[in-house]
Amino acid sequence: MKKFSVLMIIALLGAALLTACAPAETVTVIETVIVEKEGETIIETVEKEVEVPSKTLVLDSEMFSPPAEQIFFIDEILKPFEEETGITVTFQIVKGEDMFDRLTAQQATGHVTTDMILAFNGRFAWYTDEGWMGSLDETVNTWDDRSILPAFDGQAVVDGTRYFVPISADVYLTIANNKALDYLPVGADMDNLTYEQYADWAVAIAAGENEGKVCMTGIPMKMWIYQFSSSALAYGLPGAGNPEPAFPNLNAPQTVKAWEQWAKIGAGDGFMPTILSVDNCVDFLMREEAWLSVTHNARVGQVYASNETQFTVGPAPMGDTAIGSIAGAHGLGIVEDSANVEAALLLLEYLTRPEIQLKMNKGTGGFLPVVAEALDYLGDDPTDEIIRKALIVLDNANGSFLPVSDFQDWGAVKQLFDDVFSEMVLNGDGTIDQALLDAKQVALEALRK
Amino acid sequence: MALAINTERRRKIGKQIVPYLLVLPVLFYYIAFWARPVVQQLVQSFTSLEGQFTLNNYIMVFTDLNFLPALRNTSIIVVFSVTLEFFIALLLALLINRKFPGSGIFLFLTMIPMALPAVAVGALWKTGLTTNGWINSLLTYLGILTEGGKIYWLAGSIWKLLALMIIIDAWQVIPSIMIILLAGLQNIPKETEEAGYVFGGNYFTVLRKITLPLLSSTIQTAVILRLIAAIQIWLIVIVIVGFSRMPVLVERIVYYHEEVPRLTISPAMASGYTIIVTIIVSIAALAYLWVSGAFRRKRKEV
Repeated sequence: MKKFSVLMIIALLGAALLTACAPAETVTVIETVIVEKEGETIIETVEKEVEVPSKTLVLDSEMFSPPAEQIFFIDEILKPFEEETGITVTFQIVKGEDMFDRLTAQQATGHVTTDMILAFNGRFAWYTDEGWMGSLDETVNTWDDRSILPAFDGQAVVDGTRYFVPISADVYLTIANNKALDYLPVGADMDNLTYEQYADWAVAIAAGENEGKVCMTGIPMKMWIYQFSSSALAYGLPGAGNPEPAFPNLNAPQTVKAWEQWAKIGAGDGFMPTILSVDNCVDFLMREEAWLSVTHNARVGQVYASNETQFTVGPAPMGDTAIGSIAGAHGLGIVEDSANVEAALLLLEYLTRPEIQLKMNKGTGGFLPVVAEALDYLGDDPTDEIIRKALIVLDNANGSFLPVSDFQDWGAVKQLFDDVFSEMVLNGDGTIDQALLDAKQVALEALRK
Repeated sequence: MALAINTERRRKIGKQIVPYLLVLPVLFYYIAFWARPVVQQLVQSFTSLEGQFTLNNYIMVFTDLNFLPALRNTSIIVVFSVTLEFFIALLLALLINRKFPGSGIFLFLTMIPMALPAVAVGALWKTGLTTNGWINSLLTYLGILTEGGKIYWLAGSIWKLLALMIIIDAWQVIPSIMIILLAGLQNIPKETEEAGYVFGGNYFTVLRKITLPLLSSTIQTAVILRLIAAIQIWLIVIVIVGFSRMPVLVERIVYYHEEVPRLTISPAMASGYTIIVTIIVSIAALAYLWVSGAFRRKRKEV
């Protein structure tokens, strides 16, 4: 027994020593080099396999959390990059709050292990305010083959310095099962639908089918705040960052006009009967339990791509001023103290190539590419159709980003909108309870930092 | 001579110390990873944001609009769920203990829900309970529902949802209670039951007068474990209806800790709820032991 223990200890020590003394691992990549042939004047480019030291890049992301998106991003987007550069990308999905906590700990201990983050634009300020992100100007300004849509510069660029490059955007679209088209109000058109028509449509379906068919996320703290606020923006509520009242808001006159439409749907039993247990409309639309929804463009893309002949897609409905939509984006930033800045810049360059932009955003359900040149590659398949509709919304909508960092906790803000939904919209009589809205607005203001 | 006595005494003392030394690593582990966080939580529940002693955290919890509904919902789930689970588990254990042909396979089948984690159970039932889910499909296939007929399982009042939670929780937990009771039944000597029959008892008399009294300590263990677990129910609830729609006590802790962690009140609310749940669990366990006579027997034994 003693002998065995001694042998085990020696083996362990040996293994540790070997690991410590091991030379840095190298990987083989195909590199394009220019070769000048001897005795000739021709210079030709050949591909040659060269060994380069291996590098690992840690990318924390709050995007691509659905498993299908994650698999696509890793296998179809990151893998070719790894083969091209020899850089291994450790891709990790992290919740927004957890990502910030992780970076806080790394900065506090001086042990920075995260090289890049893919964050939601509403949270860019969390990182830029702390001064943790490196400037990307030097690299981005050299790009002459791509231009970043300026819609999200308000959060990505601070005092003239760019800290984030958006790589994907999202807006809200309308999707209808074709069976619902039989009830479409006279004169209504999916591409120019108004919220009044949307509400009448929902009530007509419920009356005709004896069952409500509108889907929104009834489980608290999911997407209802965005689905509802898109309608408030359509009635002229200014986007975040404007003087109050602005998004998020519960009781301004523009918001009340939007509540009236949703209350009409509630009073007409237009919502799915099991609406309070819905956390994502995709499955319900695919199973035909729901026929109608205004929801996130990537989710619409997922449903539409599953059977394009079964669904019709349009931009988010209009209010009395314009289309309204929450417009979000996810962007890449490089942690300033990262030991792998060069590798991170290579990944940034790769992910913003127009063809990669389109491939990535299409492959993950129909997100909107943020590089203008990527749109030149659009074709005719169902996901291209979704991207085109999303572009209409992005170009024409009264939009808003999410001012997450203005509030103590965004989940608590979401909860207030969910409360109004269950108390006034779903269980109300179709009238507006202004006292309830005012009380919730007071609670909302109390959540501001 | 004196030296021999000293050596003998040292050896005796050494022998007495050894068990304590062996327990020491476990003790350190518990102090570091169990006692320390518990004490820390307790201290935090009495500490204000400024670091001063306060009772305000508890006042906030007791005045929270969701506290009473959470307490009510948890109590209903505990009472009905534990009762239902106990009787069904006992019936199944008695049945399987009769060792009829195929009882092994029956035991295996009844054990399956126990192997599933709560989140999978929630997802499985949620898929079934949706309007076009497998439960309505099955009912239609069996002819119980007409073609196109639907039952909206997940729509309706909070009481309907509570009933669903109790059924789903019972479905998952019955096997674990059953297996404890079955182990207890198999430890009862056959002779005692046979003696009951010899003296003219029928199955129910033997069950009431011999089997159940002999099984009482096993029943106590099973019920106490289940009681504690039932008070801590949360995951199935949030998978099916999400946070805040049907508040239960532990769901409130998770809500403040995970869903709204950046609210200034969240740490205070989470720690307040945690201590309250701990106290309720302790009181429930002690009350059950007292009612079931566990303390009386101990006193008699003494």
